[in-house]
Amino acid sequence: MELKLNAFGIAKDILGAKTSKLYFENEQVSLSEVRLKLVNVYPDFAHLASLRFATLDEYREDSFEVGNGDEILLIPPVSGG
Amino acid sequence: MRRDVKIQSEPIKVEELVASFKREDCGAHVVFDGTVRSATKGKLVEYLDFEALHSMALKEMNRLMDNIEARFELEAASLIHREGKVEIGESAVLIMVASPHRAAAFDACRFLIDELKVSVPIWKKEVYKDGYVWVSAHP
Repeated sequence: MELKLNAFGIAKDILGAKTSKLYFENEQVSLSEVRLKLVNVYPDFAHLASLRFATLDEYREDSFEVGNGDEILLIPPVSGG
Repeated sequence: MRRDVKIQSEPIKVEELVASFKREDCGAHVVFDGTVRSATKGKLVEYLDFEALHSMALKEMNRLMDNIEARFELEAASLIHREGKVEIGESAVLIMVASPHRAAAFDACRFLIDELKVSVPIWKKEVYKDGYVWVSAHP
């Protein structure tokens, strides 16, 4: 199955693009599995102060399950104000 | 509580907004005007470039409003943030809170700016002559 990635801030620089995709053997994976794969493919994510995930405009815990076609928002440390 | 949350690319007209925010039923109006300073850690800044995850940022800003409405005695609160390019000296964020009494207004205003920096998906890029940095990205 495939997941869509939508990156913001420095996450775009690390991804090298605004959007990308990740592919998995399983039909459903937790965001902790997404995190592992992401850091594996793009090691610079490991150097960020934090990386949070969101789907449908809500922050999600790493135990949250995602499946084919879901869009994962990659939220590096926010710095408004 | 009357509330107003907004993300805009046009400059924030601070004086105009503050004047029209004033209420006769409130004895305390606290304003936080977050402006772009010319240097950070000794390095000259050319301008800031803010990126916002619009829909989610508005949702989180409204969540902060829910929070202050539940915790403090307030009549009105407004939270306006810029996106895109913001020049030195311009306001990047304007927070206004009105309450009958000062303690609630100070506390709510402080809460809004502190929590904005924690939970609202907006990112600040500091642009220098020779490059840029995404603020707070690295430990």
